[in-house]
Amino acid sequence: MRLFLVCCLCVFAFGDLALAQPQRANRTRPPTEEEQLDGNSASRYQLALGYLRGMQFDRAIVILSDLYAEQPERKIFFDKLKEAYVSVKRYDDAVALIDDALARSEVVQLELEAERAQLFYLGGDEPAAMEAWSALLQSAPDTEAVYRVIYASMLQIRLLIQAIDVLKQGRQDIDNMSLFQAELAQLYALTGQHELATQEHLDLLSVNERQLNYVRSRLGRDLEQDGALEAAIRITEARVATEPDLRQLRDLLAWLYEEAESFDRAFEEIMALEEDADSSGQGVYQFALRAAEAGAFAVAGQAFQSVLEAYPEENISIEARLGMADMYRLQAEKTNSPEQYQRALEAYEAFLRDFPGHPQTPAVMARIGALHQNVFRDREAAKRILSFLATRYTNSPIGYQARFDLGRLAVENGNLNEAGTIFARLAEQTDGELAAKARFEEAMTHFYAGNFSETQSILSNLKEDTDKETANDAIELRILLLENPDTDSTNRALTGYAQARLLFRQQKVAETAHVAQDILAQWGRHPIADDVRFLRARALLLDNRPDEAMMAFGEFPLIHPQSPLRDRSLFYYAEILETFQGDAAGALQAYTNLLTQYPGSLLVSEARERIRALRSAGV
Amino acid sequence: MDNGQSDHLKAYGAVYWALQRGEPVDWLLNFRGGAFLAVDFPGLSNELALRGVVYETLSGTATARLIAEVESDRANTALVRLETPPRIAVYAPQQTLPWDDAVLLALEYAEVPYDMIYDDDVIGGILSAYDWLHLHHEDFTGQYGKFYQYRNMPWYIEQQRSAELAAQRHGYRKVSRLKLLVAQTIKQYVADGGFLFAMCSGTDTYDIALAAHSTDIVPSEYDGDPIDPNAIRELDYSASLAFEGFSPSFNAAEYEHSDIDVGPPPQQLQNPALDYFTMFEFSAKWDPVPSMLTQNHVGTVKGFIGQTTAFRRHLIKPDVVVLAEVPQRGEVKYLHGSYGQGTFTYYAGHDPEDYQHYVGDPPTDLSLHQNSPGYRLILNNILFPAARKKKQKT
Repeated sequence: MRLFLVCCLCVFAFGDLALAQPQRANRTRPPTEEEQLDGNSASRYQLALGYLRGMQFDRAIVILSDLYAEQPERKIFFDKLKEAYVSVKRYDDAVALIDDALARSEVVQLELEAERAQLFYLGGDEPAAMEAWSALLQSAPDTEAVYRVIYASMLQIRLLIQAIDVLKQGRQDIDNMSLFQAELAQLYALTGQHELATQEHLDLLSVNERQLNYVRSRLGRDLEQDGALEAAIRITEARVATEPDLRQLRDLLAWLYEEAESFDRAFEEIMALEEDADSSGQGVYQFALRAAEAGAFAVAGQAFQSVLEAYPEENISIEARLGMADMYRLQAEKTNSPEQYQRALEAYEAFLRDFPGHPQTPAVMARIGALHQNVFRDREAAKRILSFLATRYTNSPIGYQARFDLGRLAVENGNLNEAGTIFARLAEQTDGELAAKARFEEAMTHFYAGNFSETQSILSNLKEDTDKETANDAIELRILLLENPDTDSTNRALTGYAQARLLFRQQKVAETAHVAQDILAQWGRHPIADDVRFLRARALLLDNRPDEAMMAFGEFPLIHPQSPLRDRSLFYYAEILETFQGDAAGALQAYTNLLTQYPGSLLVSEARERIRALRSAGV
Repeated sequence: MDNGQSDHLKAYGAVYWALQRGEPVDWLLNFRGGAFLAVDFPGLSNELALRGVVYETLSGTATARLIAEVESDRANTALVRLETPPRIAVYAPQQTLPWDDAVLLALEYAEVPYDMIYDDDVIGGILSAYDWLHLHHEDFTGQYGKFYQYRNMPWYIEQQRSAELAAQRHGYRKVSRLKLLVAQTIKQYVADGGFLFAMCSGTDTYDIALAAHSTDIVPSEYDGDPIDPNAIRELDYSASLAFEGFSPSFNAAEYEHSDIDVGPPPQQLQNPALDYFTMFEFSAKWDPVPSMLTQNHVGTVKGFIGQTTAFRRHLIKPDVVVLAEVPQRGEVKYLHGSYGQGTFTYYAGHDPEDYQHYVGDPPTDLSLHQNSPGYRLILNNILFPAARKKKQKT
């Protein structure tokens, strides 16, 4: 301690002087051992190194042996000669060399002693190796360094079990059970003893809570191994039971539960941590977000609720309100539950009401607009919100999306001119995916209106790099127009089909079926007739008329044997038989017919899946 | 099985399915890409439809005419009767490794049943229960695939630990010695009449391990001690099956086991459109075995890279038959040979439909490659043992 203080004073006293004269000659590094060699020795040494690099070990050994004999105090000669011996597996010679060095040394050289044992092992003399390690241990059984050196030498040759025994013995001999925790944890993990590895990590964590991130990272790497996660949970649970006051253990346990996707149990730990500390609720809130994202809605809801109750006046409760609304929406999307959608809508609306100036307001309004438009089909409400967003946030992504949705809304309301104008402007003012979608929707407005040349013109200008869905829709529409030229200049059949498509998009399925039936009655031999008949069948199905739909799909391949829609029709037919009529045998036959009659169909793999499922169900 | 076939790979599974039901199937070598001919027994047409396999129905007269045409001396075609479904074993660890095995993918897709076996099973003598054994991305030299850069990854640690434990169970200090025992047991299996099919690093590492039976070629990074300085001199090429005169790579960090593998093609050729290999055509009547192994609907197959991408031609033993080569480059992609009563077939590359498969890449979806010529070569091998009971002319 005294020396340390003196040194500090020196540094302090001469600090200014050193800064003033930074390049003094006596600060250059001392010469290396190699640089200290005389000319003759240096040349021979370099020659030996060249032989070693060229894997001519025998030649190198001759030179290095001479050099070592002449200057045994030179460590570089000793090291290189030992390396050369090991390279040619002359372990006995390497051991003899070490013995010689040890005999010359006046101090204990732990590394050399351990390496000597390691060389015995590599030479195949395991008893001698164990004896050498044992002797080394006995020479200083209460010295921590001895155990570490032996452990390191054993680890090098993957004597993992023996290394564990050595470190355990070290703990006992030194009477300190907290020694070698990281080393033992690593060895236990390497040998697949995950419970013991976890135990060591927990011991480490018990005495130092700041090791939590370190332990997580080490454990996280091991958890991918078979059984490791289960073992880690089991051991950590037991430890938490005996040491419930250690926050870091509970924190680790909560993390392990989440890794195992056991959010209920994780929540219990998170709440226990929350109660034990003067927390801001962030831990519970972040957990709730993670749980909702993972689909653990019930526990996510509880977590959000607990934040709301515990911190009603804090900002975090506002975040929790929004998180909860998002969770309802996620849950509704997953379960397709109208009640959940309603709940999400109410939660978003309450959020807007209670926190009118919140930075997330536009995003929340956009979500409400999407719910009104896509779920509840409340066009008035959707239009009100989307118009506000489009006006208030004109040149922002939210504003652009609102305008696109307004265009869609106009289509659904039958205002095709208005929709076309919106889409055309949006396509000019934006770029990327949204612009392509807008351009396609503009083409659709012309299609619905019966302006097929404009439709074609816009479709042909659609860029190649549009997203997959838009590109597929565009190709489909282009082919439809190419393949169905009308028989007269009025395009009445195609116009009627376009109107039926518009009705279908507007969810007017009964009217769609009716209009389609009229078209078929008037232009039953027109090339578009198969598309019309198929649309009618789909409309009947959506109109909850499965019997009629089944008949329409069933007769389709007979009426239109050359139609590209015949396989899809047959598939629908089979699905209705299976799901609505409960006729599994009939469905099996229909799926099989699809395979035999249309082997090149894109639906073949789905049909096979259904056949296998029906077969395994004993049909 | 020409270009009119919608799903070549499932067709092999359908043949296997028929054989399982005791129905013989004739393989019409070199006829329409190696078509199959079977009697229309109940359930066959439904099964073919279910698997998406295109078939044609022939009358008795037409069938007789077809057989006469195939057996005619005028054409390089022949009929080989397949009778018994081969019992198939795939040598692979139970551990999930971050790469896939093309043969497992092919067997799964074609719906051909197989068993997974590994070191303990092989040493325990289970091989006699199988007709066909497959080795894929295995490292028989005991260097864990030379994936040293991944040594801290959980799968590597697990792989190393399992291998070390297995070695200890069988009384070995080194994994390389255990793998040698496994390799030698497999070699005896071939000598006794087994069919060995190996891909990727399962080919060259197998031969390297056999040749290195009396020396140490494993760097210290993998087994804790250095290589034998006389390793090259002590290699016994007479012990290996297909290769001779090769030199192992002693660099632990080099992702290469020896100079048997030519490595990936030059950068400018690393393009699936430019990199391809061609198959030799054999006399269907006089060389039915190589003919069966090369049945395909195309003569040229697109190349693919693996840890072992292609074999250096001059290192192949003279009695080994080259089935496919990379033209103009002296590289062999596919070879076949006999040892004792059995045969071995080596196919270089990792995945015929994934040009360069990296560790961690998702497995190939074969439903997107139903007509894969590269995968057909794998499946030719599983049917070839089914023909074993018929006396061949050669």
